[in-house]
Amino acid sequence: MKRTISLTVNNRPYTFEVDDRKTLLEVLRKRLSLTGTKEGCGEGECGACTVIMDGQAVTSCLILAVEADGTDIETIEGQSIDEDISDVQQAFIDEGAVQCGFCTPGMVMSTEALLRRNPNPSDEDIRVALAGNLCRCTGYYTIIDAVKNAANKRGGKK
Amino acid sequence: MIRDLAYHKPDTIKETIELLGSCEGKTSLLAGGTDLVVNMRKDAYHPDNVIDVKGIEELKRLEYSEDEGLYLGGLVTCNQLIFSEMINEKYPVLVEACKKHSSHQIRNRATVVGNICGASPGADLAPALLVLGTEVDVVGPNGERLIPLVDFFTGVKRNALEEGEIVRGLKVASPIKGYKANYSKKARIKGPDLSAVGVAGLASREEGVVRFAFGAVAPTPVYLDVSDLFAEKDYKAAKEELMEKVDASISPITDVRSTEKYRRRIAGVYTRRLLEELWGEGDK
Repeated sequence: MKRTISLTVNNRPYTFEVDDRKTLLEVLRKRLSLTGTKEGCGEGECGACTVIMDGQAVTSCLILAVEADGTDIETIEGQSIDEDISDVQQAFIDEGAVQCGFCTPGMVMSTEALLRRNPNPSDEDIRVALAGNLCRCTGYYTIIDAVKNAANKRGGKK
Repeated sequence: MIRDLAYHKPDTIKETIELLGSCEGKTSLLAGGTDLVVNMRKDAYHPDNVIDVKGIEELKRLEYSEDEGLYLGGLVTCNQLIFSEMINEKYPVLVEACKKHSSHQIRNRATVVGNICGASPGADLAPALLVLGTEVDVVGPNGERLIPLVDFFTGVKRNALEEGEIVRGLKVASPIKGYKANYSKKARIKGPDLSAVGVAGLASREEGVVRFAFGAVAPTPVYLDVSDLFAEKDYKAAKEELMEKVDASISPITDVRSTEKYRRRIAGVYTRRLLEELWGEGDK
């Protein structure tokens, strides 16, 4: 069955018809062409599909698009304003926390959600917040450094 | 690809019960969806109807009172408990269990009641809720009833709900005077993983209470109240009998997460450690 949903994605309001069976991830990628959000495992284990929904990091592969009716969604595309990338994205580049890049959009969205609720995270806080984001390239240390770097730039204490 | 389904989003429990009665074919309730949607995507389960309960305000209750204890509505998520000051103060063992349940993103969606209703033998929240003393608040076409949590689990992924019933929430008993409780979990990795063994313990010297509960070592979570043992016997004898009782009460299997032998061993080790941590050495 199909139904009409309204939601905000990266501050832009949308209203459209979706199939009850489609996931939020499928709608973001195929309907809205926001292909920065990746599909890895498709079962909530890898975090590549992480987006921020009403302020909380969630795995968009496990959310039906109809469940997102009335919500506010932020994806990796919303991190950039015009040509400028966000401080978190810059921190990932500066710390060499990006290799193949497939996990990076999810990592950045988890980091963004973490820093909003905890501007000064400890190493343990970072590990807990990113435990649901898998990376097969970097070995994680540079990613943790990137989160700390971003936190410092936002004014959190070292 | 998820198979065709009809999605419903009622505003009230009454409407939900009516839908459960009128929908044809297989019907599933959807809260966090962290189990259901995985199974639907894998084509392991394909409901004809999905009833999304996230529009029901009544299920969002998270309240505590000295007399009544904790009421934990059907939509309360694991992260809500982790970030609740009240839960951290009154029921820190629930925070421990939630932290050991999945990843941050999943905990933002996964509900405590969903973890219980799924009735997985390894459900992380079950042992902690069992030792605290929990009743399941059920509503159905024939009215309301409270089911002790220990009786709620009837088999692997089976619960005591009858047709048309839903869980409105959980009633957790008021904290026992001077109690300490904790949850230990063994998994294959330090990060998010299903448990190979989960043990919750609760003890209060003031009230003479000692309870343990175990996950992933039997078809359903196992609950042991061994307060009498510690009241009647000296510490060493009570501890010895407790260890024997644990071994006799569990019936672990060998699977991808662990062997039967290792599960048995770890259940014992965690029980002993928790006893020492929560009750301490020596007699009352």
